[in-house]
Amino acid sequence: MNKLLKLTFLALLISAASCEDATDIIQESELGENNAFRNVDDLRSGLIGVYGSYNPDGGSSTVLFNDLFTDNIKKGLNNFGQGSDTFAFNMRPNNTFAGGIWGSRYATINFANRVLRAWDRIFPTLTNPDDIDKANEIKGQLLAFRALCHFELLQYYSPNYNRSSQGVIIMNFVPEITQVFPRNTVGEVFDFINDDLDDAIALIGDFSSLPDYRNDDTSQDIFYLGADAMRFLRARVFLYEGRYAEAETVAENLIADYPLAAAGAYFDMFNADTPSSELVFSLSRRQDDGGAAGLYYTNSVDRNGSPLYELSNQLLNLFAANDIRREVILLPEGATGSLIVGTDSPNNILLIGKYPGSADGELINDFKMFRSSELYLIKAECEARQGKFSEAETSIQTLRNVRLITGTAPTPSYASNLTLALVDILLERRKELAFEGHRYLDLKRLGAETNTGILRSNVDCASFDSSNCALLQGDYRFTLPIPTSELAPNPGITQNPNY
Amino acid sequence: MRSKFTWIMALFMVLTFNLSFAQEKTVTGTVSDDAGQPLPGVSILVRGTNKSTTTDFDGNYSISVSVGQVLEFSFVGFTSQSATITAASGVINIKLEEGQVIGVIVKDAYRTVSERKATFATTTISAEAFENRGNASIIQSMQGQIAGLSIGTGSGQPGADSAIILRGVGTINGNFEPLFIVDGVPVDEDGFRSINPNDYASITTLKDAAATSIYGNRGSNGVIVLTTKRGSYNQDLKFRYTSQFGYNELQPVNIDLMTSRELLQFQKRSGQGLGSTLSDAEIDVLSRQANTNWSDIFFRKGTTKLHDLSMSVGSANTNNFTSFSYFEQDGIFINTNLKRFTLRNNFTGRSQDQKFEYSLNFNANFSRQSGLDGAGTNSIFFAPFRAALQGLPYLSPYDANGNITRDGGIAPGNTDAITADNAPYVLLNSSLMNTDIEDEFKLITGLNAKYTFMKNVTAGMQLGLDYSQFKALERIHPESILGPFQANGTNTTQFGGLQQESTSRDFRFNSLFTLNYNNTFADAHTIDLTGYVEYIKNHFDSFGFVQRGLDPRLVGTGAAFIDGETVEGTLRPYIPTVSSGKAEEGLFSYFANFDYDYKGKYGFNATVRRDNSFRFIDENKWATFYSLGGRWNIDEESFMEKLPFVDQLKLRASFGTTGNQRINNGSYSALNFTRNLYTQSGGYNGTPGTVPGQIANPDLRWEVTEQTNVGLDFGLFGNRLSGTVDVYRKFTRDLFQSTPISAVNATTDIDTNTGALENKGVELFLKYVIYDKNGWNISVDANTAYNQNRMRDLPDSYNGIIQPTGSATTLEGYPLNTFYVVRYAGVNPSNGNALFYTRDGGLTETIRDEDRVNTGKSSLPVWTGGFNTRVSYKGFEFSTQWSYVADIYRNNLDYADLEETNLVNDGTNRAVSAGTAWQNPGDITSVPRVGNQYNSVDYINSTDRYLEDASFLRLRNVLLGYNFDKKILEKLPFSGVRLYIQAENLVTFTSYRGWDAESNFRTTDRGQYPTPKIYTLGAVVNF
Repeated sequence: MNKLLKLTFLALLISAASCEDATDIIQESELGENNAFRNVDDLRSGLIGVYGSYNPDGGSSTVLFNDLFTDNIKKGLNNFGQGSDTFAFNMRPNNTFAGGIWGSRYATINFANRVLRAWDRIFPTLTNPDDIDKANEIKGQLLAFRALCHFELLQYYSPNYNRSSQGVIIMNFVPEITQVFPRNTVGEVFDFINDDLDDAIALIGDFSSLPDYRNDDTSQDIFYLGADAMRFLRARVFLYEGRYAEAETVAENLIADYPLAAAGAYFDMFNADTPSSELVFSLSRRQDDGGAAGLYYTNSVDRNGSPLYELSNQLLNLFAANDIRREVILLPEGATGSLIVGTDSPNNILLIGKYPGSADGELINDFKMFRSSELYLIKAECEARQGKFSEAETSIQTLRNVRLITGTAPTPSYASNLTLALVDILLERRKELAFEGHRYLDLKRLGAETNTGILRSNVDCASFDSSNCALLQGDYRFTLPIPTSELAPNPGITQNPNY
Repeated sequence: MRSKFTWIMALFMVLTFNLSFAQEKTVTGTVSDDAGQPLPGVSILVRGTNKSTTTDFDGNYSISVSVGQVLEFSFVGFTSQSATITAASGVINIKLEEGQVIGVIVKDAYRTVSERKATFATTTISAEAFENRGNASIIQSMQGQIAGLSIGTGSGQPGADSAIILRGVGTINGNFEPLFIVDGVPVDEDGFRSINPNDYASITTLKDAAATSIYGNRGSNGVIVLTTKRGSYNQDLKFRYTSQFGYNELQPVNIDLMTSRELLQFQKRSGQGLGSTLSDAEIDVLSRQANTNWSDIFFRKGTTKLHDLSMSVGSANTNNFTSFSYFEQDGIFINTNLKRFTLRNNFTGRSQDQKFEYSLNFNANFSRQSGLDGAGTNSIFFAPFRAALQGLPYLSPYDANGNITRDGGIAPGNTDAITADNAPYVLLNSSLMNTDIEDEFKLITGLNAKYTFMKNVTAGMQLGLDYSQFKALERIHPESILGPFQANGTNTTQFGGLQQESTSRDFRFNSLFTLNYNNTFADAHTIDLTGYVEYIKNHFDSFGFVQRGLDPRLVGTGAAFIDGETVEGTLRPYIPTVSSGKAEEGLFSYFANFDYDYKGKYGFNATVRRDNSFRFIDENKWATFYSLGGRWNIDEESFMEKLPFVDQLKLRASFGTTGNQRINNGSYSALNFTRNLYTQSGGYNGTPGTVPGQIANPDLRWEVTEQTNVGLDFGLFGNRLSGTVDVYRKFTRDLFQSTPISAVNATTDIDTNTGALENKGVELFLKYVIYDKNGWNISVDANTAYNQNRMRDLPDSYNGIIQPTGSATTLEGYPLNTFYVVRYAGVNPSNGNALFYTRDGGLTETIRDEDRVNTGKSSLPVWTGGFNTRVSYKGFEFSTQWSYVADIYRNNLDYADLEETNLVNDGTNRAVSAGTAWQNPGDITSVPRVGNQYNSVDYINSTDRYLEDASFLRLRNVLLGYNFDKKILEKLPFSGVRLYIQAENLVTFTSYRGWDAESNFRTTDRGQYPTPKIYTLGAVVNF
């Protein structure tokens, strides 16, 4: 009996070493989803995270790619081969931009969907009307970001914008890591984007201003996706969808509230990040953020700052001497500035000046996402496509005039010829939107109708020792390949033609 | 299964109620060798039980046994003996004869078994193989002594951690080092600098699955069991004092560096650097003024000191072992040092009837390591070892008074003077003025108890604790050359300097409860069955701060810290940063071990284990590991009588599984990979945001290793020739590695369990007693191991190769860390550019990724081993210990830097061979022209130009000792006196160009701290 007691005691001793505290451990530093998002303020913090994740002006993203792959860039003074592969049209599924754009936009979508999932959990518990308003405002912006990213993916990865063509993967929820998805059609993606934008505009509703999240400073509104920014995006989407009348209306309405900046204000907008009337949405870039100038320079915006890329001679030659855009786009000549030896001289040092750095850092500037000059270009194109050529001529001339320091631009004459109009609009888009992430997309969209491909001048092309100076319109490389990183885990995805 | 279980239970019940108490008695005695010298550390095992003891310093032992039981005496290098206990037995003195290896007791945390009866592949080395060596860490002394165990020490910092690989690397991202157990307590495998090697009696390496599976959740990389010295029962008080003193110095470097004259003339010829601006006469003057070998300035002759006093005593029912030691070793690099103080007390007590026994092992250690950061760094002003190798010879190391300069005349914060060529002055200044101290307090303590509360049934308990407290202090003095830059990276702040302190505590607790049944039936069948429950819990916390801005008058404590609120201009440059961390880990397991022996002739062992790791969830949380092992002691067979020269012959075979739950290397990592986590970051417009920080992998599971092992132990010709052969195959699946996933998850790859690694190999150990007569004993032994490491399965999407970012990568069908580079073809005689082979054998002057080829060379060794010789005559002994590594490769960036001809005026010296650079069309040379396309790092990252064979053979240890004869000592108060002189790393044979061919298996060497030669003179006195 004694033995049995001893055995029992022993068994108790062993079982006393309970195992749960050794096997079910949650670290104190863990922030799970339910704790990460508890209330409206946390949702707002999630929204800020979505803003922070969206970096078209970052390394392997759209802003650099549009100009590098096309005809706006030549090799910089201190470039040791960076970007030469992309410059040479070596577009393959393992291209850094093909992977970077795909990955970063889907990451932003994933971030937004996570906050939206938390929103669905928290919103029903809200009772305070003020909280409900704030929550709706947050959801509106999340949906707008989701729409923006899907739209950009569509722009780069769809071979064309016909509704039945291969689009991109629609993601409106948070997937499991083992899940993979096929591509949706372009039509499905457009519908999804428009639904998100409808919802977003409805939710943001009568919030005419979006107070800054730190100190209710309304001067910061420009840095957040407000109703007008959403409408701006909608104009772009309509244009791509071919809904020209609707695009024109949206553009026209917005133009009224966002008049073009005069030459001086235009210069200050880029050179000193000064707010300007034509700015609809800008990405705030502050100390320790990455900045657009870092795309073109390693250290600082000057000749000794290790420039990686410079302005192409071809682009520079397009600007009249009295065009304020020339002063913005080219760093002034000087000992540490640009050097113009002669027209198309191989010794020209054409330093990109659109992002000259700011008090926040030598390479840091706000990135101007939506400017109303683009609305003029959308409006002009829609007018031309609807046969309203004289209106189109006026729209273009209005933009040209305001960009001149002195004098006026000649009135363009399209003679009711759509091709002529589109060629002129494409030219103006190149000059107005260089280094803002448009050139590749414009050539892709308008290339066929204007019979325009990439044709670099010899001097620009030679800067990279490249023999690839031209790419015909309609080339398969005007659509990015689905990247290797997606092909590998996702057997159900279809690669774009010819890759 | 059920019927077997019932049978075992029935047996258990029957025996429980069939109690009979045999007469127990205490037997004592002395164990000595042929010459009558007492043998300390001899294992004494009561046959068929797990009761054991060891002899003390004077060879004395005491053990309680029953009449009829048999004592087995065994010791490494000696023939085992046994003695049957009779009613008359009281004192049993034993003389062991030298000449055999088999018969050692294998004792791990869970089991004790004589090696004859072990089904395991193990190797045991005893104290004499590693005690009193000059190395600060016991791990370093193990190198080359155990077949299959590769130990690589990558730093000469006294007490530096070593990389330890047993039977090849079986993981990609996880922990690859064996589990270390000290007296039953699992301890941190990286924490041996604070431990006194002289406290240890033996080290056993467990290799195959039969041996390691019982460690299931931690046994995949093998297990190393360290046992400390203990006292014996009924023993008089004994003292043992050990003292050592010695010197450490740099191993010779096999690189010819340029002299001042050679370098200046080379620069002149190249049109770059100082030399190009000087006339021949000026070069002549300058090279007469200074021709500095900077390694003479940075390296020194260091000293080693050791004092170690231990005491042991035993009464009828208690015994005790106490030791103190102080160890101090100066590194060979200026300002590097290790000081260590250790204290140990091992107490054992038992009840009068000897059914209950307990022991408490207490070990407290403190060590302070003064070191230098920056080994291997690319940042030249923080890379002391690079400066020592590459410093310009025409710079003088002396100040105006002829003393070694403290600053080379450079004012603190002078940006114009902090140029690459002045790096030696900056580093000299930094090492003299700045502080980098790491203190460790380490406590290892264990409480063991066992109680035979029924006949044949013993309950046991073990509580263990490994506690490490770590404090690091790093200070850059505000008045050092680099001091003024520390506040905000410029020299414009009023105050400079930096003080960084961090403290961490690591508390690792384990408990083990056991219930053992052991019995022998019909004098033939011995059964041993044990059940275990184990609980492990680790806690870690840390705190640290970095203060920028120190008042130079007060440097030392917080009194010097400039207030963070201080405003200079518009900035607050002195705001300190703080950090705080905390983490936990836990494991829970229950398991069983079954041993069966038939007349010492056949044996069978089985283990099964259920393990739960906190790292996994749901169905992956629990895992089952098992092993089966068998042996056949062929020498016990009657037919073996026809082969009288065979004394020992045992065949072993085993198969089993083990798991690795430390899927990420390093302690306290991969703590929650199964959960989605968010972090506060990703801010926008100056507001912090919340973003996903970790995407969950809920399917995470154990890395599982299956191992098959077949081994043969033998002793021939009166055991003059003895040895062991093992053949094994380890196959690890579910490797934790990066796998592509769809970008819709916000990341394009995640670490999952996929792929497999295979290690196959052969291990051989041989010992031969050449001569053993007339007081002479001459013996040699050798061990060698061959291991083939193969990546067997990568995620399909990689197409058999993970594209390399540097020189080494993972290739399916080849070893981990295989160099995948472009082949260097030499120099184009027409223009002096470097030439490379394209993939298809053509020549090109451009390094392109598509021309990379598989070299089949890896940074992990294929062949490792060592050999020992030992000669003794009367009291004299002379021994050597050699170790070698072969078929191992490493990128030599040190040499690449010294042969760099892309730039010549980069402020560093050159090897003489750089002078052969191409100059004129038609020159045939292997060094490209000055100004060629690529620099040293390009060659290292992408080509095989400096991929060198890092094989070496090294005389690890040579020792000459003398033991005073007992007769001489009779009149003295000493019972034993031994004097010796020894040297570590005396000679190395290698083709690798550098200070030190040895490394911790890294792929590239640049400015690493070389391991030293250590000479020591020692004395051991027993009284």
